[in-house]
This record gives sequence, structure tokens and C-alpha cells, in this order.
Amino acid sequence: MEKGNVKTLPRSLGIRGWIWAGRYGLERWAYLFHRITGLALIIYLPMHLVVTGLRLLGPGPWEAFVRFSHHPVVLFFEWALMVAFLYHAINGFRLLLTELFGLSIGKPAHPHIPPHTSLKRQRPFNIVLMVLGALFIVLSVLDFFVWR
Amino acid sequence: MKERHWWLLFIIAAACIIVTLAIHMFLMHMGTVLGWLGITVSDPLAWESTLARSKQIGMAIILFVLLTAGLFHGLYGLRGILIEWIKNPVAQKAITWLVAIFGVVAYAWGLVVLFGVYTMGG
Repeated sequence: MEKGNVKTLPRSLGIRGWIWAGRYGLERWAYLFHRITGLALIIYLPMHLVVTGLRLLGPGPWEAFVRFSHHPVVLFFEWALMVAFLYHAINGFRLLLTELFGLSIGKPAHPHIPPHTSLKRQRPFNIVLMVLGALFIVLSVLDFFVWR
Repeated sequence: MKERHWWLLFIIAAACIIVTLAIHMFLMHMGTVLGWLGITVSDPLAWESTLARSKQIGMAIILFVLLTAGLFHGLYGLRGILIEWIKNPVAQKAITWLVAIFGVVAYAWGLVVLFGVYTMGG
């Protein structure tokens, strides 16, 4: 290819690069959602610490908050957070197994495009976990909106 | 500590969270499913049952691990995102310190809550 015809991308795309940096495979979307759900969870955690700390003030403030949390809008946000948690947990479990313990990466071999291990082992594993995640999301809908 | 050591801690924290948060979430949200398995759980948000749970030493330890690992993992992840977004080295240093200070304050508060409820009368 001639140099002048190649449109080069900057080395770092910043936040915009999260949304679009070329053709995305399944794993790249997995990474994007992992970050977004992670942000949601770290925003929630300090609020959770404050709310559970209400118990230090006795049963009154705690029970008032529990009543507040049964409001449909609050309930919806809590459920959305549950979905974020389920995704982050299950995808994070995959990342731990693959990146820390090397599960499904296989032995070093001559390079092959597309890589066998990523398409034939890691991607099916990813899909199995996402199906498991979908199952838990169904359970969470029942937990939040049906079994109460 | 070098960056890679913090990163390793971040991953170890993730492993701790998977175990402890799974227990926490199952107890808080899967009461019906646990019922099918023959384990009866009372309304997890009722005052008496939150107190009873927090006063069990095993549960207190699980929540302690979850608090420690969860805060570190979450805030280190947040810092990673922020310093990837903001390139100025001075600002990056400020972000690191702000996140660290916030983490220490939140951790202290979390410990006060855990210990306070654990030793609460009634």
C-alpha cells in the first residue's frame, strides 16, 4: 500500500476509542461492556457503604430506606445494577481463567491467522458463559419483579 | 511498589471478590432458589435478619474481605480508566492521590460500619 493512501489512526483514541476503533469482534465488545459495568459498580459501592451504615443509627432509618428502595424507579435502577454486576462477574471470571491461568490459550505454536485458540476455544467458552449470564439475568428479573 | 505489583493485587482482589460477592449476592437475592434447595432464608433486608447476619463471625469475615478487595479493585480500575483518559502526568498523579485518599476514607468508614454492626446490642 502507498503511504499517502493509508489513513492512520492516532496511537490513542481516548474515550472515543471505547465506542469505535474499527471493526469490533465479540471480545472487544466484551471489553467495552466490562469497563462500563465496572464504572457503574464503583459508583454504586460507596453509596452501598453509606446505606448499609444507616444501620448504625438504629432500625428506624434503615427501615425507612428499605421502604424507599421498594419504589419502582429505585427498583429498576437496582435491577439494572444487578445486570451490570452479573455481566462484570461472569466476564471477569472468564478474564481470570484466560489471562491469569492461561485456560484455553494452548501451547505456543506457529502463528496462524485467524488464531485457532481464540476462535475455536476462547470464543465458544465466552458464548457459554454469556448464556449462563443470560440465565442469571432471567433469575434476577424473577427476583426483583416476580418473587416478592 | 511498582505498577505491576498493584496490577497483580488488582487481579488477586478480583479472585477474592468472585468468591465472597457470590456468597453475598446468593444470600441477598436468591432466597427463592435457596428455598428450592431446602435452605430457608428470611427476608434479607428485614432489620433483625441483617443484624443476625452481620453478627455471625463468618459473615463478618466474608464482608471484611469483600470490603477490602472490592474497594481496592473498583478504585484501581477507576484510576486506570481516568489516567487512560487524562494524559497530563501532573493530573495523573493528582488522580492517583485523590482516588487513594477516597479509598482510605471509604475503607475506614466501611470498617466502622462492619465493626459497629458486629458489636451492636439488641
